Amino acid sequence: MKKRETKQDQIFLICNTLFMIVLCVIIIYPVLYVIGRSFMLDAERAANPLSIIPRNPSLQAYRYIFMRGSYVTNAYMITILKTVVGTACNLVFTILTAYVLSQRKYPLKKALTMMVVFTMWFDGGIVPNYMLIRSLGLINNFWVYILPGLISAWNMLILRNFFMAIPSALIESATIDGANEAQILWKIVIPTSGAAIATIGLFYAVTHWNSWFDAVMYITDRKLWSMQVFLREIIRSAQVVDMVEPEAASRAQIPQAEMVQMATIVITALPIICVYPFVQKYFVKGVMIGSVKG
Amino acid sequence: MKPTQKSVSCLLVLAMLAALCLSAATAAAESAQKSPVKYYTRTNSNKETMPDNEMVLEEIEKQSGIELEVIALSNESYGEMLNMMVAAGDVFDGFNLVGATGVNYMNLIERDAIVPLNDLIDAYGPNIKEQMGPAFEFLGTDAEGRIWTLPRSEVFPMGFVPTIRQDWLDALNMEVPATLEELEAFFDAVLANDLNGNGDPNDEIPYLGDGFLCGMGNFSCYFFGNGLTNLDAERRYLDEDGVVRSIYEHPNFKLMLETFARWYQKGYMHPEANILTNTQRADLRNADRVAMTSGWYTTGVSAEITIRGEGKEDALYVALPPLENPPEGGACAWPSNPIYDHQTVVMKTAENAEYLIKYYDWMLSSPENLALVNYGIEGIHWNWKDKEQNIIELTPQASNYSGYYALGNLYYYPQMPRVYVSPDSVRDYEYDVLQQRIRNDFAIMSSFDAGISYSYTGTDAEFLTNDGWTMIEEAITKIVIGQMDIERWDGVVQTYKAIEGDVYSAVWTQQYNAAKGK
Repeated sequence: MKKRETKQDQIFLICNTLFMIVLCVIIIYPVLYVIGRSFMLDAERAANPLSIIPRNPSLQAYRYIFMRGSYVTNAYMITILKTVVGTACNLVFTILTAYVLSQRKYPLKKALTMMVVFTMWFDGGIVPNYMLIRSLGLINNFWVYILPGLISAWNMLILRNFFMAIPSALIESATIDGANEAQILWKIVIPTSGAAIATIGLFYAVTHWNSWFDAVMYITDRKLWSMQVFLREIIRSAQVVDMVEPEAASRAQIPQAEMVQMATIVITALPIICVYPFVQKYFVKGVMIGSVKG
Repeated sequence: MKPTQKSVSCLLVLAMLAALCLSAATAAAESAQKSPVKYYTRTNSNKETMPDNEMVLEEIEKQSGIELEVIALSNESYGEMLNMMVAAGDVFDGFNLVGATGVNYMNLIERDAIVPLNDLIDAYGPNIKEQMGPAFEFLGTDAEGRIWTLPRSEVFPMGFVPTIRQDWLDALNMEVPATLEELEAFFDAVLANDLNGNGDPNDEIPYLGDGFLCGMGNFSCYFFGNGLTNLDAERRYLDEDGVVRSIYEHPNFKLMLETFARWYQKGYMHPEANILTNTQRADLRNADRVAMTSGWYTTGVSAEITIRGEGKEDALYVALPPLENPPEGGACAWPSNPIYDHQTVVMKTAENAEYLIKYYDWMLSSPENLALVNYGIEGIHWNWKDKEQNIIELTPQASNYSGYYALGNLYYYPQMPRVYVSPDSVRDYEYDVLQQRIRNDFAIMSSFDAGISYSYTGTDAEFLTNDGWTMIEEAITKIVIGQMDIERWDGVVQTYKAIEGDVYSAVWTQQYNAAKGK
């Protein structure tokens, strides 16, 4: 039976709706602001500081960014490659490590877990890390994006806890049926832990997508730069040239700094915005992972 | 002589000859370049990605006989990267100090990371000695007479000149202001008239400068007689007793604050002058609202080209001459970056130190070489416009190379060719006109301690946290916008001196005197 709405309910509904609309506008306005400004020339922006719809849209900034041809495409490929390959490698090694450390009967479980936890408390520092990476021959090497951060201690412990929460009866029955450890992992543990693995995978993927520090520190070959570093340079060069450098003959070809900044943000955020709606539910589930038992 | 003795003597002579030949061969092998000269610089205006870089590098290596490997590190973290590489003992030959935030060549000396250049220059740098002589003299040496850096020379360091709307002056029948009083009269007239003709008489902004509090630093020469381009914690002056003090302790600093406070109260400055970003300032200029701008001299030109594009063909920013009748202790001049500054250091781990010096020497050996490294290949990127006058004209392809292999700024005139600027290139032509006017007609002044790098490692100032500067900055802002009485300024300065000012002053004075050989 449908509950009859009282007058108070209706007032609340109206006020609530209005409030949500205002909230949505507040949230969506900056996004539209960035997109609109990426197509807006200086003069129009200066005349209409709050406008988000360009009257004379221009693709100058996008042309400028993609003008470098293979560099932008290359940077995108590097970013996609390191995200895909990196996430796959991360998951494989994290799952394997978490599975081993989740086994109650494993004799070195405590010792190895402590070793992993120790790395969460103490870090070698930038210079020792750099020296280590250099000694491993990973300077200017694509694998520097993947190998040093192959297993995140935090993610591994979360996954370990999730594996430990799997009913032992399930594992035991599989053992009785003749399954070995690999079969148990592949056919029982991983399918059961789909949500956790998807969430951890998403954490790794977003980390790879957003990371720039490793590229700045360990990569000097521009062809191996990820998109984040490359686009930071574009913003920097647009700013610098627009404000300071008068002598370069090619100066006139540089569009206005703010256009380039906004176009950069659009290009950088677009893939994640496209992917996120499909994996949002895993984020919600992931928040509770490791904290709710049973 | 017995046959045995004869044989021994012959053997000895042969052995000596063999040793001589071996050492000559070894010496020849040692002087051959082992690997490309490895030089680090920062990413800058995409110089490192220009399409013709490889072509120009090939030509440079062919003509100089020296192999080069120039690596551009991300500008955002250039200083951190260099510090890390030095700490990790990376092997490379040299790097460019410009843009290396947090890297000070004095620190590098203390860390024993770089080598003095005297012997290298004596052996391999006759042109360096000749061309860079004035720069070495300007920058000085350490107490033992050692040179630690190869200097840079900016093509145009004196760009901190305010520019003012000539068309608005014409509309008001006013001359370009020559004194502070005339300038303020112009500001009053701007406020009283709708000069941009948009129907709103209240949107004109008499003065909008870039930098801290609307470019207060631009007026440093006028008030302090010292060319400071901004007013951060590392700005100093030399008092009558030869003590180096923070600029805030200058007797005229209060006068400058009074002036800017008056400008703010009268509405000469934008109400949010202290929080506007550079992009917002540029937007206001582009919106045809600003009468006078300061910061880098090009800010006005950029705006006037945008305004002209909107139909106002007579929009024109002209350089404001230095203001006359400065207060006592001031000077009729505008501030400038130092014309020479430290640029290249040679690492202790360098394997090709001599080749790095030889490369610089080769660059400076002729105008053609300077033109090659700065502008590209003759016939492709540039041609001679007037060889006698040392003027070149860039071709359309010149934009495919941007001086990446010059290893910094090497504008050593008269050897350095000048570039002909055609009136058809509107923006560059306007810049050139402004540059000539400023260079030829204006008095320009750099800081009294230009070229001296102060190091705090191992001094009493090493662990100071700049709380005093934070307090000073807050007080300056509050006084200008009217939230603090100007009379409290003296008390603020005394507190600053007690917190850190006197400590810094002692360190600066000691290092300044050491640099000047006192």
